[in-house]
Amino acid sequence: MDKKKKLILGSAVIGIVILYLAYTSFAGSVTYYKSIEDVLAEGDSAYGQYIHVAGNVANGTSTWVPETRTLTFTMADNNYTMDVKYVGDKPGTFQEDVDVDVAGIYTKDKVFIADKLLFKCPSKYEEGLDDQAQ
Amino acid sequence: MIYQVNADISASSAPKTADTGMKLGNLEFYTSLEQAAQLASDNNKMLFVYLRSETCGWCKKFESESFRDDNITSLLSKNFILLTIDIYKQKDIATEMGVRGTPNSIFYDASGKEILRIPGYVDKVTFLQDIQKLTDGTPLHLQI
Repeated sequence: MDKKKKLILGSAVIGIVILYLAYTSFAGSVTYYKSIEDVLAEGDSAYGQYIHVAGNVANGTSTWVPETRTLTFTMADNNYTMDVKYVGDKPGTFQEDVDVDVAGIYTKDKVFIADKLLFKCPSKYEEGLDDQAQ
Repeated sequence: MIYQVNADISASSAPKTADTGMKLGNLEFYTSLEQAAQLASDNNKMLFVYLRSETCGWCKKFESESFRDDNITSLLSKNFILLTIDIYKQKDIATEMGVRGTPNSIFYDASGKEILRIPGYVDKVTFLQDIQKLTDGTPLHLQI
């Protein structure tokens, strides 16, 4: 099997795993929103849960491989980082240095496999920086 | 009335807001949580809470796309009570709803139970698919 076929097969397997985990995780329609710090602190118990994690797309970390429709980047929040892999059509709105919410599963390979990317403006009201909001 | 996320929103100590309403795209939204929640309960309708700010670029993009789409505006107007919250002017409510960033779309059933949260910008096709699942009874197992 050549390299391209292996990549495509790998992407398909990841997609099937995500769909299965999304289905089983959402049997109770419960969604978990976690910080990168929370996920890293959970250790082994973080693996395989379908969750949302928020952060910022770190500059200079994103790569897009059109043949496998794979987008990878590093997400950062409060000095914690997480590698993210997304397989699908590249969102036209994707760019670095923006806040993003990723939905998917954290794997034993220390990579977050996302099936949804949602872009947003940061809220700064918690920090009392109302006037500087973007 | 529940409207519960992490806390009892309807019982929030947040300042009561006189509802002057707000137009976003082609939709009219309430701005008072108390009034909108009461209407949702009285009319057995779902509540759509749209959290935004005037300075949020992703919000403006989302509003210009989704809130001007005929299919979306029709579905929302028919099936939901519409409420918008400015996260800076009504920060206590935003905090209690656990919102970090905008736009943020939260849907509640008529009893006040959260049934879907979309914590960021999505294109109008994705948004339409999400609200169609809410209105046609499709199980939310794959709602993210």
